[in-house]
Amino acid sequence: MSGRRAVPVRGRRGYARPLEGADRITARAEADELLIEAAKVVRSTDPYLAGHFPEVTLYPAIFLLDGIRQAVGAELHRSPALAAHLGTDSPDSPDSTGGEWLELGSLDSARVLRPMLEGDELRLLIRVSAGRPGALRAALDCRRGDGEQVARMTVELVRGGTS
Amino acid sequence: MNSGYARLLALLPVRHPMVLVDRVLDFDRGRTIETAKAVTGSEPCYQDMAENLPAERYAYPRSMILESFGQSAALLWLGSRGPDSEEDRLPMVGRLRHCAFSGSAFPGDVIRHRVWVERLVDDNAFMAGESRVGDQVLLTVGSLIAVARPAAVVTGAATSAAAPDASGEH
Repeated sequence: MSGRRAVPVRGRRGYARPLEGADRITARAEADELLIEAAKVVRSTDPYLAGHFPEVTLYPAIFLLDGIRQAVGAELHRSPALAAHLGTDSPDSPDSTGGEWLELGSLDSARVLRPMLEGDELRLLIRVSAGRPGALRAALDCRRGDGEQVARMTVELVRGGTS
Repeated sequence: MNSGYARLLALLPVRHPMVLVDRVLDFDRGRTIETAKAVTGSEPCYQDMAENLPAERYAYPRSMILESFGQSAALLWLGSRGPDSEEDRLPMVGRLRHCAFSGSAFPGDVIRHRVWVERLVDDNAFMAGESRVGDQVLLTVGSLIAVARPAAVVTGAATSAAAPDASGEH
């Protein structure tokens, strides 16, 4: 995919997040959709993971939700039509990724199929389309480096601070 | 259920800083639980925040609210199990459906989760509930299906047995 972006591990964040949900992001706008591929390696040294679990590191699938909103926020500028569908951006949105602050509006469905262990490289394949007015629909197909599907979920994203 | 923090740790397999429930406020075995999670600005999710941000930027990550709800659901299920339950089986969220966020929590807020059991079938628990700060509903969970899986499967020690629905999530 075009437009590779390296997400800084540390930086001045414009909104709270449990951890950086992606190490690398690529994206392209295609027709009415935004197609994003984000990569995330599971590391025991990431915030919160020391407690999940103490003896073996398992990536909490809930953190994939944060990966979705972070990746879509970082790449939304590639699709002016989807950004317009989401509504006006707020002017005060400093963030190390240069992205926009999105929030989870709803979680339609999420299914977790396999554990995600330390060292696993997760590929977050995210297909973003227009949802109801003021919201985007993001469908995630998450796979390990070996291609095995580990989770899939569909969420609605809204601009932060709107609800 | 004893509402003390030590009892909570005895039931939950997670540890600091991933323990996202602080207290059990009410427990009706096999039926419902109410828990409290105090949001604090010292949590890792607030590290490296830029200076001079507007107050709303400190909204507690909604993924964490859902994780805290899931841990509350685990406490309800684990606290309801009998003494002959298999100790090596971990509770996991296998599936979530119809969850809606309608508000945010901020440092200083106390989130109260109420989870109730809709039905228990073998190694599966079907639960639902909602999360509030004061009178404001932050989250409604239409369906949370928890599954019990052998610890070896969950941790990858027996990956060949990792059937669909096994989960790495709480």
